[in-house]
Amino acid sequence: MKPSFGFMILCICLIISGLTGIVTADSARYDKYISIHMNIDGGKITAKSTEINYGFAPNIFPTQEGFKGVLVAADGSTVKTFVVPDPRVQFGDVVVTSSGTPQIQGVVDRQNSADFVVTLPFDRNVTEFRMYTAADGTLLTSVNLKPQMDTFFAIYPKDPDNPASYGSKATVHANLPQAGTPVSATKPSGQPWGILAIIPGTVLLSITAFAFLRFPRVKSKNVLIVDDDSDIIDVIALMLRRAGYRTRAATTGEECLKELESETPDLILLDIVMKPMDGWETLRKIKKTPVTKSVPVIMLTAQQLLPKDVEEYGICIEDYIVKPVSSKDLTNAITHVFARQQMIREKIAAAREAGIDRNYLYEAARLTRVVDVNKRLWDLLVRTYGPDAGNKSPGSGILLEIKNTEKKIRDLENRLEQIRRDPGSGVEW
Amino acid sequence: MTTPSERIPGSPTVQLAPAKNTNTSTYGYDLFLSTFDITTGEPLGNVSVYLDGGYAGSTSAAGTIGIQNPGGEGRAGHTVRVSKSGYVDITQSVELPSTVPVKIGLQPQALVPIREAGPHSTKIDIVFVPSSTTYNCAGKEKIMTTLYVTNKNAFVSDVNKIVNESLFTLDSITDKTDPLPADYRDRFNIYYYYDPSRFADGFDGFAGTVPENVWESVPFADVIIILYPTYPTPDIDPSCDPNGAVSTAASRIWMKVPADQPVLFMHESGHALFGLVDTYCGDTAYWQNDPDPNVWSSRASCVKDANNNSWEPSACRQIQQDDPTKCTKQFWRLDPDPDIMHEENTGTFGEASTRRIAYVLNFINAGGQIA
Repeated sequence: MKPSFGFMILCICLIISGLTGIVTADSARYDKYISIHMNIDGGKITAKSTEINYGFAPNIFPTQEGFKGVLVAADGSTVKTFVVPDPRVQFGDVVVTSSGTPQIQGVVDRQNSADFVVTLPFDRNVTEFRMYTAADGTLLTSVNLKPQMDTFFAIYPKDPDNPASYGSKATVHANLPQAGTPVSATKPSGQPWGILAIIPGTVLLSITAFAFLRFPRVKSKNVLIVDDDSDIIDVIALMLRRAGYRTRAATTGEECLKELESETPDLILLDIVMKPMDGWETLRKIKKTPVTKSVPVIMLTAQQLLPKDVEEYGICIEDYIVKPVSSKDLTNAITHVFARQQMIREKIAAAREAGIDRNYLYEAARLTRVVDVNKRLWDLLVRTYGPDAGNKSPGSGILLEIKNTEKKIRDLENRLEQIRRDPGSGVEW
Repeated sequence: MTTPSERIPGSPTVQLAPAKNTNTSTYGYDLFLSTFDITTGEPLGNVSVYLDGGYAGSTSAAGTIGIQNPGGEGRAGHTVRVSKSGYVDITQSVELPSTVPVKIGLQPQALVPIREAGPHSTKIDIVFVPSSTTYNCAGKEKIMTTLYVTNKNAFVSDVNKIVNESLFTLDSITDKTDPLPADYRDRFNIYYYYDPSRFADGFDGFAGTVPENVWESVPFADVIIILYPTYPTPDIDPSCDPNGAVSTAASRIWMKVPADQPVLFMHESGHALFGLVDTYCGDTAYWQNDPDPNVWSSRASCVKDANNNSWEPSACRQIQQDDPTKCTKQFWRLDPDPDIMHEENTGTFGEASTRRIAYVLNFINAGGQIA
């Protein structure tokens, strides 16, 4: 029953060419900002507290009126200078109607003292903040940021900006704004929730055309149900037709393959326990046939999923559903598969104007799809053998295999994250 | 067991969700974590999980993740941060290996994007916040108003209206000889922040006040705009007209404006978003921006800029009232009237103001010099 190595490679290739399954979490975010809470009283400025938090700082306002702020590196060199608007001044406009004519009048509120906050993007190279008078450069205050950085990284030691964790080859995460960078020259970013898959040239065009022609509308998609129990076929078909799908059916693996010769469906629901050709064997034949190799397959079976099934077939199937299944769960699973295809189609369209290295793209697309499918399968394993399943002794071997499955997912995710963070990849998702 | 913590650096909003002791095994993981939407109780998938600040993976569709070998040998206390777009980040302390599953509920953000065009560092991020107060012209006093407090839709509708009627009409009210970038609308990220328990007060202090925890929730905001409802009885006193104000204090810039005054909105936005200076003569703040001022501290510098930009030098004129004895400033202006930075209810942005607006749009985040 074990698939050959060649078959595994075939499946990987299919994943790349089919580009199904592009759903992922947000890209890892390590952006941080520093908030320095201060008070000005007359000419005296006092730093009250300093915080470092995850998140984004505001842009630095381009103005000339205020104090001079300076960011200083550990060696005493100046990293950046900017203007800190005077917090004691607020101004407004009141519309006054006199003699029937509205007139705008200025109002200025100049206080002697005020609390204020200076918020800056975190830069691991910056260890001190200073404020000077703009007129004569008198130093008003200096805030040592190092203690807060030490405290922060004691709590978050694995943050890539932690001086104790990054080496010379580590990605520098200095997110200080670049002065004078035109907006038009900045690199566009992908949506924070999704994945941006970018393919240049003819591959892009052909995949887009393929997806467009094949899946013009979700509700009219054609699903092939393969099960040796005709009663089950009837029930599943009814569920799907009510959800707006067209259905066809086959009661054996051989019949399934014959059906595929006459018309290629948009998705196959495939039973496992069938004779003489079981579902796994049928799957292998489907994936070996050029016309049908990219058709997504969901296993629909009464047989419990085993960790070894995930290991062997996790890269060739889209999902695994255990019978009996509710109409909602079934349509949700199918919708999820089609949603992935829709997403990749949209992302490809959005990425047409960008240029991302093809090797990175292929790897990222493959990883993302595999991670998504394997997470769904891992969920099922946990539901089947986990603490809430009532299965008191699934066996240490199965538990170990499940943990290995999870570890594999982590490794894949880490690799995906590595690609995302590689400045040379151009991949932002 | 999870250990509550009062305030963990790195977490904009810390919400502690102690692990529920279910007396079940953790399935062999050092940390078995599940995430859910705190408002619905539904599992939350694709939540990014960070252990001790390092990315550890994301939760499955069932909202779970198992983590082994967390590292940090000899260290029992660890930090788990969970993050997902549209939700408030949560950071929580946890001791590993954890003997119970850890469950963390995520709170949907009160921040809602109206138009999100790109990363914060390349866009002007504007956040609208509703005011729970307005002004009673009859009693000449601040009053509470329930309009936005009880009717979120009214607030959202007013935000959309004023954005569409003013900010997104910039191309029609700026100078055409050297126009703004055609995609100027895409230079903004626009959000509203609506939390039924947190409202701004448009009539507290000079430019109104924004609750501290709102600032902490939107640290990236370049400008927070306090929108307050129209005065309930404006006709009682003809001199009781709505007002706008700006505070450009340090890193926090905010302004207050009425919901029904699009020109006044643009005037205050001229200050808050683009650093434009008032061109009328009165008790207001004057300075000369560099580059691209709309007000100069000398006639010579105004004429020089006019010549350099092929503008009409003779348009440079001192800021003063019709009767100079009533008000004259040692600053000069160039843009013709009606000038939005001069008028209340009409006008456009002239050549100088348009140049300044274009500068800010083209060089977002340029407010500093790299050494």
